[in-house]
Amino acid sequence: MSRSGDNPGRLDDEALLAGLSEAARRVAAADAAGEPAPGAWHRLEARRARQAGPALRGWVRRAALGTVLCAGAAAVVLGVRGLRAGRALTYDVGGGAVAESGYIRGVAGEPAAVRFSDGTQIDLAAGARMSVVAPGPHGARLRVEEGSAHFSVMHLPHAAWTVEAGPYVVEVIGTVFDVRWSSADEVVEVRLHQGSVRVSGPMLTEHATLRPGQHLTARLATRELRIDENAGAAPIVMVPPPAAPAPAAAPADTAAPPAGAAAPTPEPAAAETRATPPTRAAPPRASKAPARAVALVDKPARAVFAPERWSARVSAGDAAGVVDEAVAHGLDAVVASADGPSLVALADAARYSGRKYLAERVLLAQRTRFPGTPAAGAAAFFLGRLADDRGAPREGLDWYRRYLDETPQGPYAAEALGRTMLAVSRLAGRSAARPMAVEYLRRFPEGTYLLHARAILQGP
Amino acid sequence: MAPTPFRIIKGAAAKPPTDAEIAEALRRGDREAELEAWNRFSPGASEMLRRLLGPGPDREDLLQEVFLRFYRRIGTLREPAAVRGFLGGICIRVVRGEIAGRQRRRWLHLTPTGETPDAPVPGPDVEARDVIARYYAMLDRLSATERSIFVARTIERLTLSEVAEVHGVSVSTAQRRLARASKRIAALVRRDPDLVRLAGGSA
Repeated sequence: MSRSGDNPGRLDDEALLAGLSEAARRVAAADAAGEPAPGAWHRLEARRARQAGPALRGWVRRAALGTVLCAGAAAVVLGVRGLRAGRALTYDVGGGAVAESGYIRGVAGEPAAVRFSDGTQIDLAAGARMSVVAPGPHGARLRVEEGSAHFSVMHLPHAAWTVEAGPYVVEVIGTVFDVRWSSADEVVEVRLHQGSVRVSGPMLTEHATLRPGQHLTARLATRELRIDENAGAAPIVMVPPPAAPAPAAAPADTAAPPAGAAAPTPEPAAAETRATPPTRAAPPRASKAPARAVALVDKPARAVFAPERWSARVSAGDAAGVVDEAVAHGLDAVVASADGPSLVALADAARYSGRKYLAERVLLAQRTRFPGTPAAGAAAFFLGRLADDRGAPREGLDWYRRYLDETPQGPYAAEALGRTMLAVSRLAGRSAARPMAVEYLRRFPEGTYLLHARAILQGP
Repeated sequence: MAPTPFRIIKGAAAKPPTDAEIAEALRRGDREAELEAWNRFSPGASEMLRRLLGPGPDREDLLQEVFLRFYRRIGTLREPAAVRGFLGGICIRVVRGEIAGRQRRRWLHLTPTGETPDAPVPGPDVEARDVIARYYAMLDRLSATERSIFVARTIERLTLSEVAEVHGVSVSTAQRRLARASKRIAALVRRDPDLVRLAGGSA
């Protein structure tokens, strides 16, 4: 470091600025977080999509104008296909193996961490397995195949995550929770640490919304479902199911933790669950923590499996019963093997009972297994509506377009065209939706979207 | 719409591609490479933005802007192996634009300092950060281009020819502006004993 001649302690300008610049580098390095904040990539993608919008809108507008002059028909196609769909989240897996199908498991039964590009993280316990079932730009549909998983879901706009555990579905916005599913014991546990989740499945006539600290346990074998309050923040530990009527006072310290798990602290909820009598006849055990039994159903699980009767049962209003029967039989097997009419009935049952994600799964199976049938065409329309309902209008638009392409004279054509018109208007502006409005008024002059179509044509 | 398959971006068996391979994939328009580029380069770009801007909260908006331009302009990169320098040049230009905007806001009296209000982020060495923040405040008294040239040369340690290329000026112009900026900043720094001490000299 050079010093000026008249004052040995005085730096020359170059050395002075070099020293400060070095200090500035040190401060920047100390402040650097190492990598951008969780979700930064996802937000960048969202910004790119927004920036792509105006250019596409211009393109769509020009295409629409041209097609109006050419009688309007082609605009329905051109106006929609240019819209850019959001890209699905991506993820990486630490300490685990993943198959192309999205099936994830820890290497040699060790824990594994799955981190999504929006910052959501899932920690699989030792021996746990999980599948990434369906992607989405704002979340994913996941399935806990076996074992325990800890979820930290980022709370971002339009976040849409669902976790399937056996026949149960946990719907998530942004929260921290644990899920365990044991296929051998037919036990589902959901423990909520932060936020809010909505659980649906057998023995729940409606969705159960959990609050922080609550712990839901469902035992399918004994038709037992309960929600414990103040279950604490301890992770779910593996609790052996009551193979026979459980002793009323099983010792609380016998719960075996999973291999590799942290030493468990005594867990009131787990103790409660283990001590819960499987039938009403057994005497209840004194609770350490307040427990609220949501349902205690002591009748045996429905043994019948009669998909040929589903259609009639749905018509008679037993949609929830049909869904229960399907999930009890094994949804994968049903989706893979049921005949066309049964799948249609199951999709209807799922929609009517609010099991939207299950409905999507069945509708997709309809299209895959019975392509070209009227049911597959109708499935496209219903998939569009379901996408609309979960806040994915572009995806919905794509499904409506498919429906109109495949069955232009189908029973839902008016509804599909009307929804297409509104979606294009919302996403790309009124001028882009005008060809659709013209088409709608021509084909359905007394349709339910009549006023919307007129408003689009009369607007600026 | 058929679901877009998830893509594995890292895994136990994955062999990481080189910087040049990522750049080449981006130039081919391979969208798969975009996330890989983000994972590889965003930490460095984020730190470089900190060096260029000085202490303060994370500026994810600027990092996004950097990568938006990076993806848009990757086709103009001549040498794939120089992708980090290419990205660094974009960082410098983005920050220069940010500083110019800040100066315009200050001139228009939209905010007292020209900075948009952000919550300060405490760090591990508060005293040094405060002093360095004063140093960056002095840099902000330069014009946006002079500040950018000065920071690129002294803090980012780019060569003069690199500085000239990034700023679209000749080497001699860059040298002249750098000398002018250095003289002015040195004079300002000498009035602040803490800064002189931090630089390693006596006040």
